[in-house]
Amino acid sequence: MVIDDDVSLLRALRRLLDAGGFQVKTFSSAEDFLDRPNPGTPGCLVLDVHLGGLSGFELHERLVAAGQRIPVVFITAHDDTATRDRARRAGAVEYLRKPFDDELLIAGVNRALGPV
Amino acid sequence: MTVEPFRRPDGGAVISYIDITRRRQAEDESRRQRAELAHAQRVTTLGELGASLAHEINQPLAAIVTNAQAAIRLLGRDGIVHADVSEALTDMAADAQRASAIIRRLRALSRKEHASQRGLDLNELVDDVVIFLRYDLARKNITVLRTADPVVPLVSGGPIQLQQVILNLLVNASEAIGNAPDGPREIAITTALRGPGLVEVRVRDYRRRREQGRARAHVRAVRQHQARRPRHGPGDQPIDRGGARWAYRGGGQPRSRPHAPRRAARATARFRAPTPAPARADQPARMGPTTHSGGRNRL
Repeated sequence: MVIDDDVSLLRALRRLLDAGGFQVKTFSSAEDFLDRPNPGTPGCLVLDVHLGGLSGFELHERLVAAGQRIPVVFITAHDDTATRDRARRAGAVEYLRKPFDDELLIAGVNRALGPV
Repeated sequence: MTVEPFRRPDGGAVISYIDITRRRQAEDESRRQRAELAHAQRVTTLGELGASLAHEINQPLAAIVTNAQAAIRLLGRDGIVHADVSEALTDMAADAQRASAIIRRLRALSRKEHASQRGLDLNELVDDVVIFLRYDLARKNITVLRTADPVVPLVSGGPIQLQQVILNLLVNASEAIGNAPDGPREIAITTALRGPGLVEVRVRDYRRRREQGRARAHVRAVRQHQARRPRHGPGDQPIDRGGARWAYRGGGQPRSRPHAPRRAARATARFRAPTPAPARADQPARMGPTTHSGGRNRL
């Protein structure tokens, strides 16, 4: 599952992860993701930190509170120490600053999906 | 002082004298404070603008990089071998990454990070500024000769301020060269240890003899408790932040000296490390005398 409010990047990520052999579903906001009838627990979330409404961190906290422990790869175009620290505290599998390298993203997703 | 003569036949006058020195000083001071405040607000706005601009620009850049890299993978997955297309896509991704790096550096320079930091590596600060100016230098056909002493003590100070000082020195040197029609177009930047706790950054520009002027700038960090302060001349820009007093003396346009002996115009900046930090002997030698011309990519 990929959640990013930039639709252009969302399409690009779908192509990239698709080419990497993953099953991909994309959402342009946290609300969009929450509104969908449960599509089955995703193996991994690629989650933008800054979304239109609910932020990536807030969405992640809600999921954790609801008992869903989904490994997350955070991505952000707004990289600073505070954001990085928060991602680390949230237990992110990977934290990537946009624009990121495809190798890093795919390695991160593989790690998230891999045996814990 | 005002004089009010009496309109009487026997003359006389009232002479009043008011010392307005203090008032003038107060007015000057308040003007200066207003100017500082206005500047601070501009810098803050610029910093905020820079942050949101970086965010806005990095989004499409991320899409470009990801699309290019996805296309490379899609070609590979479908077994399509087309070296030129793959190379074009690789270049596309690399250039978008490069644009992002430029935005990041620009943002770092405009950020309102004036806090003093310890353990700054001057070599890294200088290298960052050189990279920042690379395209401008390449456009003026100027080569940078970078010599870095691998063992320089770490210094304390505001990293952005230090970079701005180095930036000023480099821009001055490049402007001086830019006005010269021909001859060697080189700027030498040296960082070297000059005695215990004293690191020197020296910027020299090499031009043809006749165009040579002298540009000299001294930058000193004088700790506040030190009694001796650098003499101020016109064009001084004393900045006082983070506990260290910086004075940027001279270093404006190079003064023309037609009979100057043949030597390089020179701008020297010295940075004194507040405490004798341990020398960085643990680091592998970073660079001997190395050269990277302004035109080459180095990110």
